[in-house]
Amino acid sequence: MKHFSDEELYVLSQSAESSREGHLRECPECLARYQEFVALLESAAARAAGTPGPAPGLEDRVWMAIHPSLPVYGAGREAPRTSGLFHLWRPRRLAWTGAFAALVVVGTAFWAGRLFERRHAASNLALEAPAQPGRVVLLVVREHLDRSERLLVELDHAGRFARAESGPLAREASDLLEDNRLYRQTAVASKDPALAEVLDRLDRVLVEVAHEPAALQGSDLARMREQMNLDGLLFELRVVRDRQNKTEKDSRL
Amino acid sequence: MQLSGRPEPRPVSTLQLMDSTDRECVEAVLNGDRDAYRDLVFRYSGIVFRAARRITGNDADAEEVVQDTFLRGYLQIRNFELRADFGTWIYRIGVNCSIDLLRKRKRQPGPAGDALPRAVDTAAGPERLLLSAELDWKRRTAMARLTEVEAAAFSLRHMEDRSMNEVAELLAISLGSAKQAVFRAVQKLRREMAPLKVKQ
Repeated sequence: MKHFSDEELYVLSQSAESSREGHLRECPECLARYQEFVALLESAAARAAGTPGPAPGLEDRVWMAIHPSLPVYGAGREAPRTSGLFHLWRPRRLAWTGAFAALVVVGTAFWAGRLFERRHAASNLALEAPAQPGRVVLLVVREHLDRSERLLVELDHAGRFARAESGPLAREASDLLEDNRLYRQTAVASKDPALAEVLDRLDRVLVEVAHEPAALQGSDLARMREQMNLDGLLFELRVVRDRQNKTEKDSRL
Repeated sequence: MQLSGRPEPRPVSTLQLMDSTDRECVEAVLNGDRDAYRDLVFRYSGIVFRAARRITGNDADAEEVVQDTFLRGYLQIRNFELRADFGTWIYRIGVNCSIDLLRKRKRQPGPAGDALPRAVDTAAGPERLLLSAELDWKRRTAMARLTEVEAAAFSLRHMEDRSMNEVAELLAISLGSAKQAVFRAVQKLRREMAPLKVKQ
């Protein structure tokens, strides 16, 4: 015997279908469930019929309660005459307004924080440098290496052509000398032995050039090139500079 | 949507007159006469109250719903189509306000009328009276366990005597969803009430 589903019994309880009533007469189980639905719906209808009306004076109470909150509208369907902010001060909307304002404040603070962080990224890098050996040296020594390279190239060319006006070279070497010592000490402190060694060799060359007579002779230049291996120093200086350029690019990424 | 099968139907001639007056009231409100809304409050408070009373289950909540309904109705009156029926429009707002209140009550659980059993048949004997009170309390508890939409759908269908199409339209859901909501409510209530039926 196939029993009715609950949904079928519910539908049946609202509209008696004679073709199905036969099964209900034969099946006590379905009949019991059917009667539950009927009783429930009759109970609901009885409660609806017995629903008490409002207490006397409901209309007055409602009107008195809402009247102060009603804005006066303008002619036609224009905006209300009252301030546009009026409705924001109703308790429920005030809560939403407050929540929205809080959201805006939090969002703005977050955005400002991100902006601040981005703008101060460079200074943050500098501040973090002590934790990564060579970073300070990397940032400040590049220009010094470029100037030193130019000086060495000029010396090299002068040696090849056996003539040089040592005045400008000596002044440049003298200028570089002081900076070079400072950078060499920094490189040692930053535990960058390759750079420290190059700067040490450069220091000796700069001392020689800074203290040479006004006009370098071809023999002097040849001796300097040979003794101090200017070509080798120039090569090493370029290697160190390229390595530092690469490190700087990596740190930017 | 025209409401059919209202608990308190009005004569056709009066209905037409009322409709005309409703429109005049709405136009007056929109033209700056705030007090014209008072007529609408007086005219429809009872209908909204009864619907809210059936959905929320108690007088205090129903009265709060009526206040909220007319306040919300006033603030939205510029969206009201003058050709539409104001009673139907405010009734729909009332149903939505009732659902909102049920949601609020669930977030803030309290006694709300279902804590104390209340006698419903004072002419019966003590034992019958006790059972009746227990049944009433059980019914309230069972209603409170329905979702807001289920409670509203059940009340509209089986207490307000709305058609399924009207239930769907009032709750702004599909016809299938409305049927499902009503049936789920019926099933939950039936299971909750079954033990008492046996005792009864």
